[in-house]
Amino acid sequence: MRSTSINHEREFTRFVKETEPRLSYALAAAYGIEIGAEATADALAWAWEHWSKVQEMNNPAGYLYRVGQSKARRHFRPAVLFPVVPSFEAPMVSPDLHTALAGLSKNQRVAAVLIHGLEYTEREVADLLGISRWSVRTHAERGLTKLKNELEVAIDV
Amino acid sequence: MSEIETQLREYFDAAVERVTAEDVLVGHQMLESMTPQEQHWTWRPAWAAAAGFVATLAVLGGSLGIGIVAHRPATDTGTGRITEVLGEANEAASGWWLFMVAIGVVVAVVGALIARNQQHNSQRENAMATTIKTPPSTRLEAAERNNRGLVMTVVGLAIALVALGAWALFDQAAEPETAAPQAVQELIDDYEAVWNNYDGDAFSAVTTEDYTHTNGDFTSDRDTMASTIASMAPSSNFQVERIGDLVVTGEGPYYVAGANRLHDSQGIEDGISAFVIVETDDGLKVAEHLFVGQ
Repeated sequence: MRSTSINHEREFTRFVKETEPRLSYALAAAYGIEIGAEATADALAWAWEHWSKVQEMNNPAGYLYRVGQSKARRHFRPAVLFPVVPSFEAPMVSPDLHTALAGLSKNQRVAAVLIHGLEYTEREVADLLGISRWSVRTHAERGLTKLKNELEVAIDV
Repeated sequence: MSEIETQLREYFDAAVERVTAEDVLVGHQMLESMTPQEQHWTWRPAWAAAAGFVATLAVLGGSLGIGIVAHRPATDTGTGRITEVLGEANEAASGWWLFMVAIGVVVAVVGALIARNQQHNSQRENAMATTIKTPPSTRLEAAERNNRGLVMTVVGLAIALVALGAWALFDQAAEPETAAPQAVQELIDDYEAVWNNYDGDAFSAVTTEDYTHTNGDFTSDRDTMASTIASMAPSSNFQVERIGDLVVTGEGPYYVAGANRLHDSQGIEDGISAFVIVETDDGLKVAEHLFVGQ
């Protein structure tokens, strides 16, 4: 009994290490930094409470993304989705990036951040969002182009 | 400035709060270790229920009170049928109060359930929050966290309550209970004209076959009254004058009350008339007339 519980915890820990980064960044990109963190914590708590069910899923990350979406919808959209990060913590970030991010659609932000910022594959993002790879690619490219236009960064793709 | 991809990575690495498996497991253990009393017992649902009940009665009761005061009948005296008429109005008000209490109970139950659910969620989230590192205050601007579902529910209930109160006021203002329907008004006009013209034949046209007229201890049928009216000598100078507006309630039969001043060669007498008006094949007719004089 005890060893089963420990095994479950190990499996869950492994699962979180693998899934949490994609989930955290995706929900933060979709709903803003603060609500994204709350939604991620809620989604992973839900995963642990329903661990036996989650283990049998084909696409647990995608399912938890939708759980996180449901949790995020319980919150009011804050006035500032993406707060300014102090320059000493992120010296290479443009001071206008947070404003430019807020101007993208939700899927454009998620796709652009995960694919161009964090180098996830289109397949991984498509599984997470539950949309086709073609749609992911379109969202990512449009999002990136908008960001570059907003920040007036030379397009060298 | 560096490439946009680099900026995105650096921004999200710096800003996003990460959640570890340990956070989740410790939070879950803390929630499980709370006693049932700690998890569930709180005065908050009771306060929410009481507040919901009181607020509902205040809004709806206020609306009803305003309506009653605004449309209070001008005449409030008499006995017999008039007492019945006023009694029906009181019964209608009692029905409203029961309705409001029922609505209040529903609101109270919903409020208690919402508060209990919110309390449970709050305890759960607190357990989780203690395990997640709080970001430096300089990193994230504070954004107040709210439960959108709860607020939407409360706003919806408030809108429903205000709409119900507005409807009650509008309904009473648009169609006051004391306003005489046009057909009833015309029938009473004709009935009084019969008396003023001493027209026994016309009297039969505005009354039912089982019509009764009661004045003090005397009750007469239609034929008797028709004969009495026809036999009145114009020299008696008998005239019926209405004082003020009629008060009408009911939806067929109608119960009508009004004040009268009777003139004749011997002087003036004021009194209250109460009528029962019924629908017949030939239209509305007076079925009963009770007169209570000074």
